[in-house]
Parts: sequence; C-alpha cells; structure tokens
Amino acid sequence: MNMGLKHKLILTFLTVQIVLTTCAGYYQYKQQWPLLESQSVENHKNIARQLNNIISLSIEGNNYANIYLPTFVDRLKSMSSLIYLEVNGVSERSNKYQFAYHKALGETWRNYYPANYSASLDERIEKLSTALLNKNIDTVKVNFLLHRIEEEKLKYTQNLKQKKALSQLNLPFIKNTPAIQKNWMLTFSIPSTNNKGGNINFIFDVSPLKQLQDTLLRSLLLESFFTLSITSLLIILAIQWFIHPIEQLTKHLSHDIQAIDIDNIPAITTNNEIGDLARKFKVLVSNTSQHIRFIEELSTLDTLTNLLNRRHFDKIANDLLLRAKQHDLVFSLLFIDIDNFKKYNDNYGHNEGDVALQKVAATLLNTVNKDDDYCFRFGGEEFLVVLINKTHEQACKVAKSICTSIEDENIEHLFNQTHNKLTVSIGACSIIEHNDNVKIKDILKNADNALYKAKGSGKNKVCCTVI
Amino acid sequence: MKSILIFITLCLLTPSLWANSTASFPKNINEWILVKESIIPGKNVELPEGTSLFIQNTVRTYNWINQGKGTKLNIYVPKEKLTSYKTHGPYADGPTAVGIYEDSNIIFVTEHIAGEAIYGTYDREGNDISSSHPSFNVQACIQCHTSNKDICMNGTCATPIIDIFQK
Ligand code: HEC
Repeated sequence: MNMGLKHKLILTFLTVQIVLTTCAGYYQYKQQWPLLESQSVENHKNIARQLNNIISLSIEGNNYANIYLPTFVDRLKSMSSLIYLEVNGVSERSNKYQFAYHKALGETWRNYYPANYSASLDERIEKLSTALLNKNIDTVKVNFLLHRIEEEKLKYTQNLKQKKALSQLNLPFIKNTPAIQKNWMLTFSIPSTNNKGGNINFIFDVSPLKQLQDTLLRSLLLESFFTLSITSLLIILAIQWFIHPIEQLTKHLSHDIQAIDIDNIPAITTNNEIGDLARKFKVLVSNTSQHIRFIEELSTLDTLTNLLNRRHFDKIANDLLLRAKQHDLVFSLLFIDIDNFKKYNDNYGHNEGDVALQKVAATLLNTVNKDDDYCFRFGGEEFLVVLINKTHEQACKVAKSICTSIEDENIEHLFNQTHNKLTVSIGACSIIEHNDNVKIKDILKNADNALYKAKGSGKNKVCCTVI
Repeated sequence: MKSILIFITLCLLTPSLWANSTASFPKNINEWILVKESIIPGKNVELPEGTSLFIQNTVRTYNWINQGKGTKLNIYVPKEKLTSYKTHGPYADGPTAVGIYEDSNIIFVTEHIAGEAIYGTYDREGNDISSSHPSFNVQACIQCHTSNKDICMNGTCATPIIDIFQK
C-alpha cells in the first residue's frame, strides 16, 4: 500500500502514543500495586502481632491449655482472613513446643508430644485410681483430677486425628519473608517474644487483593484509554491542520503550469514553512510560465498539429504575398473551419477533439503540395492554406478535394447534422491581379466572408472568390 | 473400659465442681512458715523490661485486687512440706501452700493429692469465694499452675528466694 505523508504521520504518532501510554500505565501499575500489596501485608502482620503475646506466653510456659481456651480459638476464628497458623517454639525449659490452627478444621491442636506422653497420662490415672481405693480419700477431689487427665487423653487422640487431617490440606511452604502465593494466600512468619524464641507462621487469605488488583487495572486501563483517545484526536487534528495546506497547494499546482492561477495560491499568506514553500512556488511558476511563453514565441510550429502556427503566418504572409506579386503569380488563401466543432468537443471530449484536429491537419498536408504550399493552424478549429502559382480554378479544386478527403476520413460526429461525420467548410480567395492596396488582412477578410457563405449554404461546402 | 466409665460419671459431675474450690481450706495457717513476701503491683505500675511473660500475665490477671492499688502476697507453707516446696515437689497428700493477699482477705490454697495439685480460694473465715471473680475459679488456677509445665512444677509456681531457703 502506498501511504501518504498524512497517514504515515498519523500512524507514527499513534504508535508512539500507544507505546507511551502503555509504558505509563505499566509504570503506574508497578508503582501502585506493590503499595497495595505491602499495605495488605502490613495489615495482616498487625493482626498477627496481636496474637504474639498469648502465643509467646504459652510457648514460654510450655502451656497447651491456653491454645484450647474457647476465648483463644474464637479469637482465631473471628480473624476471618486467617487460614492457618503454626507455632514452633522452645519453652522456658528448652522443650519443643508446637501447635497449629486451621480455619477449615475450626480448632487448635497440639502438634508435638514427648515420646512418653500417653504412658505418663496412664500412669497418673493409675495412681489416682489406686488412691480411690483408700477409704479416707476425698473422692470428689480425686474424681476431679481423674476427669481432667481423661480430658487430656481425649485431647491427645483428637489431636492425632487433626494432625492427620491437616496433612491432607496441602498447605504452601511458609517462609519468614511475606509472600503472596498464586492462590492469593499470604504467608509469613514472625518471631515469638519468649526468652528461648520461636516462630509463628501464618497463612492469610488475601483474595480481596485480587479485587483491588482488578479495580486498579481497570482504572489504569480506562485512564490510558481516555488519554489515548484524546491525544489521538489532537494528533489527528494537528496533522490535518498541518497537512491540509500542503494538500491544497498540491491540488492547486497539479494543473498545467500555464493554467495555474498564480494570484490565488493557497497558504501563500501563511507565516510558516508551508507559506515559504507556497511563495517559492509562486515565483517558480511565474518564471516558468514566462519562459514557456518566450519559447513559444520562438517556435514556428503548432505543438498539437505540427502545422505552422499563426504567429508564423503573421510573420511570413506578407513576404509570400510580396513574392507572388513580384513574380506575378496567383496567390490563393483557403480559410478552413471544422463544422460544429464546439459540439464535437462538448460531446466527445477535448482529447477526442485534439485527435480530430490532428487528423484534419494530416489530411491537409496530404492534399496540398508540400513543396509549394503552406498549411497553418490559425487557431482553435481554423486552418489556413496558402497556395502559390495555382490558378483560381486549381485553388478551388484543391479546396474541394480537402473537403471530400476529410469527409472520407469518416470521423463520427453525430452532432454535425445531416452529415453525421466530421466535415469542414472552406472559404477560398485568390489574387489574380496584384494590386498594392490589397493586403493580407483583406485577403483573410475575403476568405472569411467566403467561408461564412459556405457555412450558410449547409456546411461541408467550398466557396471560392477572387480579387 | 474402666476409664471410660469414670470419664462419663465425671462429665456429669463436673459443672457443679467447677464452680467451687477443689482444695479444702487448711487449718492452722497461722502456724505455717512464711516462705516469700511477694507483691502484686498496682494497675498503673509498669513492669521492668525483661520481666518474664508469665509474671507479666500473672500481674495482669490479679492486679485488679485491692482496687488496683497493688497488694502484698505472702506465701506460707506448712512446716512438714518446706523441703518439698523448695524442690517444687514431689508433694505428699494434703495442703501444700497458701498465698495470702494481706490487704484483701483473700487466701489462695494449693493442695496435693496422689501427686496432683488442686486449688481453692477462700477468705480468712474459710468461706469459699472462688466464684466471686473469674480469676478465682479453679480453672484459672489450673491454667497457670498446672498448664505452664515449664514454669510451675508439680503445681507450684513461686521461685522461692526467701531467707529461709538461703539459711
Ligand atoms: C496467671 C497465673 C496464675 C494464676 C491464674 C494463679 N496463680 Fe497462683 N501463683 C502464680 C505465680 C506466678 C505464683 C508465684 C508468685 C511469686 O513467686 O511471687 C503463684 C503462687 C501461688 C501460691 C503460692 C505457692 C506457689 O505456687 O508457689 C498459691 C497457693 C497459689 N498461687 C494459688 C493459686 C490459686 C488458688 C489460684 C486460682 C484462684 C492461682 N494461684 C491462680 C501464678 C498464678
């Protein structure tokens, strides 16, 4: 495709604009998204920190009762975004301390038991049961204790089950540094504050961030779209404004150089480079036209028909007449006009008109004696033929043969009534007796009158006169 | 099977038990030996940095006593249990220690039975006041004394620093 300057400019600017807007949008996203992310991370860290006290306290005392407290479990449950929590610490007497919570299970459970845990419970139960056998013993107190240990045992079996259930939950690996996983799970770890240390690992559901991301992306897209639309419009308008005078100038200059209206060149008053260009063009066009006129003056031939031109006729007609007079030869002038040529042009177009003129000219040249006679294009559809040393009758004969030759060419001209083909009318004037008073203009006048008569008598006619 | 049966009967009994002191009010406390004079600081007292989380928690739990102005807590141990108290057990059956809030007529009691600790809260007249405040409930005592396996041993928590042990 051959693209104009205008389209190239528009395309280039739009491409640049799209690239810039996209980059700007991407940059904004890169700036804003981490802020939202880190804000969310910070919020969740704050939630996490609120739990640090009670958890660290429990780690310190190797205290698992705390994590079963309904108040504690309810507190975890009320943190709607908390999915999972895992504690891994070292108690005051350097014991391993581990527990976990998962939203799906809705409970906390102890994750670590010393090897002899179950056995030691049984041992204590055994001891209390033995004590019950003593008659003096306070059975209420012993039963109270037994109940508590049984509860611990129950918890133990429950915890083992929960531990198993957890292993099926496919949790992501939790690193110390905050990370948002693909499924919008935020994982991080904070250190516990007890003496011997520990880690509290968290998994939070941060899927609301996805909505935030969507909103952010949507608003950035919308913003880019508006920027793009407005700038595109401005670019197109600017280019239009910039290119329009050039287009007008081109249109104005695309005529034949001599037909250019030099006084109305567009953008000529514009005060910029395009104005400069227009002004330079004006100078160029007027200089060139002058040169063309000068060259035309130098030339003798009519450029369309290759016959001698009128200027040349004006130049040599007197000489020819004088020479004829000196040698006492008959001087004849045939004034030839194509019949209804205006209609021909109007109906068949100027190009066809030019072709017809060329054919008439060729017929003229073929009919006359090239050595002695002269053929001119006098202007428009008028031709002149000068015959020297032909009798009046001979001249009239030549005229008639011109008439028939052209008719025989059979050039269609439906608007030349009755003939329906291209014809010419000829007025001829011969000087038989030379006389100083007879000038070329008189002969022309005479021939023209004769032509007028020929036209009046139905066209495609010859009318001959003598002086 | 036996343990399950016990468990079921206990479940039926428990709610009524939880409301009351499990440990009995000991006799002859005035013959016991003062092993530690402790203080629960007032509500507006800031604990020094580095105070263990457990102590911080204890203070938070009980600094409401005596209208939050702070209170003396004296710990007494019966003569025959002095040695086992020093080593945090093992304890023989019977009352083990009392913590007396001197300004407030509150007596915390720890007793042992078959090596396990049980608790109670009384006033000087021996009235059970364990249901007068959530932090006097025996479950609260257990939460600290029994559950903090690495701080309190065999159900007693104090780190005895009193002269009697230094002699
Ligand atoms: C928040 C934790 C906590 C709770 C709850 C708690 N105690 Fe204590 N208790 C302590 C600490 C700590 C000491 C040691 C104080 C000291 O060393 O000054 C202590 C000391 C005692 C003593 C002195 C003997 C000992 O353990 O060294 C008795 C008796 C006692 N508490 C009984 C109770 C009773 C009864 C309850 C329930 C009403 C109770 N405590 C609840 C933390 C607690």
